[in-house]
Amino acid sequence: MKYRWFFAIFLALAGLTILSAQEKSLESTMLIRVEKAAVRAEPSFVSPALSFAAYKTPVAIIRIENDWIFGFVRGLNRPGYIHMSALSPVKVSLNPDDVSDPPPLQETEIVLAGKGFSSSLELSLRESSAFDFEAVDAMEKNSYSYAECLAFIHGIDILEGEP
Amino acid sequence: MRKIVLQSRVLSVILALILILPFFASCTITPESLQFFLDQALLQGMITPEQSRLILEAVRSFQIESEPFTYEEEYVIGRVVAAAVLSQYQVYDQPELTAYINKIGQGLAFYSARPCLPEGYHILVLDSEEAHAFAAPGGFVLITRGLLKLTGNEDMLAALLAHEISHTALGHGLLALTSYRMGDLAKYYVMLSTESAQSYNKEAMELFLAAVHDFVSLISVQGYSQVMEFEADAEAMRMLYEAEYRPSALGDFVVTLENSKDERFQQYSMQHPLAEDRLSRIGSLAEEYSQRAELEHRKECVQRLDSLLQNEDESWHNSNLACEQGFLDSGYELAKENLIISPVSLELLRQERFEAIRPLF
Repeated sequence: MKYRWFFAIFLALAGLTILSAQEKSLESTMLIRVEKAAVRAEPSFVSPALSFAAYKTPVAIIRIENDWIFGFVRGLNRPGYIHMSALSPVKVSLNPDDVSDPPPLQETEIVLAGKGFSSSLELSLRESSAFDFEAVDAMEKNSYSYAECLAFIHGIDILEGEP
Repeated sequence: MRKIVLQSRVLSVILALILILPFFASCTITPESLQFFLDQALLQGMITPEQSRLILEAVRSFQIESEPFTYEEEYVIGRVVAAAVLSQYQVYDQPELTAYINKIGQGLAFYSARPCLPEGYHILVLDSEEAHAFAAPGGFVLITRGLLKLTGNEDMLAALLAHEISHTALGHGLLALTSYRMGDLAKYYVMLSTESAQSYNKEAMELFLAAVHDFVSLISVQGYSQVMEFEADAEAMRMLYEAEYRPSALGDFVVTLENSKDERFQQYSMQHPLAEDRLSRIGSLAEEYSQRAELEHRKECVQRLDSLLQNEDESWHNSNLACEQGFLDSGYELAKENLIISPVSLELLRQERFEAIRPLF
């Protein structure tokens, strides 16, 4: 009897872990990965296309309904449905020109203004009164999802079920 | 004597490398070919192994310097620049206003040239009556209360935010910093002569701090170049158009700034091109966007008419009649689903919330 309880608790914890992991993996912004994707009025392939989004167009996700993403697409002033198969996660490119990552810098390497400056060196700057990093940390907390911001800008009340 | 000859040879080799590197930058010099060149120089006794090592290090560092910034570097630079500005200004602690500004600014960033910054965009209001804005790399934008006070409606506020976000999204801060780095080669070669690795780091840090201060002074006193300012204006107007704000609101803001006689606002004016030059460009772009909006509206009406011909549903019929009569906006049927509101209602909503938040400016 005792073991059954342990087993049930274990299963529940495992389930919660999987659920939270899934929630974290859900992107709030995705990109169109096909040449041309239809943005539809309803989550159905027979629904009329409101617009067509080109390759790499960003999509701000409001919610997911089965295999359909409901969200804002650039170039359309209202949210619409796009099938999940037409979307891919945003690839975080470290380099603005999207080329291969530069080689890591050595500690003894001479670095000029900014280039090669890493977050580890920020620690030494934190001691200086000439830099208020706490205010920057607080500033970064003022963060909203694109879906929330776009709904606000366009005056639309659609934030139910936002990821 | 031999030592002096060798030193002069090394100097001439370094000088030659400095001169030819910009040309190699476009056709990429390989480490192997450079190594071969140095090996030959070593064999012929032109340089010592230590000098060969120094040249290799110099070339590698120069190549790294010539590479574009990575996002990680951009983000760290942005944090440091923002931290430097925030050590001089007090934060205006009004959570409601901060949320309002960020929702508009971050929403506009979706329409920017770089909507997918890994750490996103952040906007902060500084408690100062001066008119100042700092668009730092990495998505950090700082704006003073004084500048906010110049905005008369949400469209003008959005125009101001879009202009500053454009500087960040278009990487203007990084371009300015890159120019600074390239102009600092002399210091770099002085540092090369230092032998201790410890002093390398110390001097590099000092150089970095000097660069940050110079950069903060650049963006706060001199401002960006005229080309960058015009580029930011054009990009801001495109963003405003896509976000359904009035692109001509940027012109309204420039006029208000120009008409302001307050000395505290002169600094911001001086950082930007002449108002008449800006207004002339803004005017022609606004005209283009106005024509485009008209064209899109007509296109939508035609599409709706086509749909109506295929569908005899009563609601569609009403919608079509309304469209033909020209008094309903493009989102009529969507309005019934609360998914979109008419431009008139949207303008009223924006006006209402702006008036509500304005006393906090």
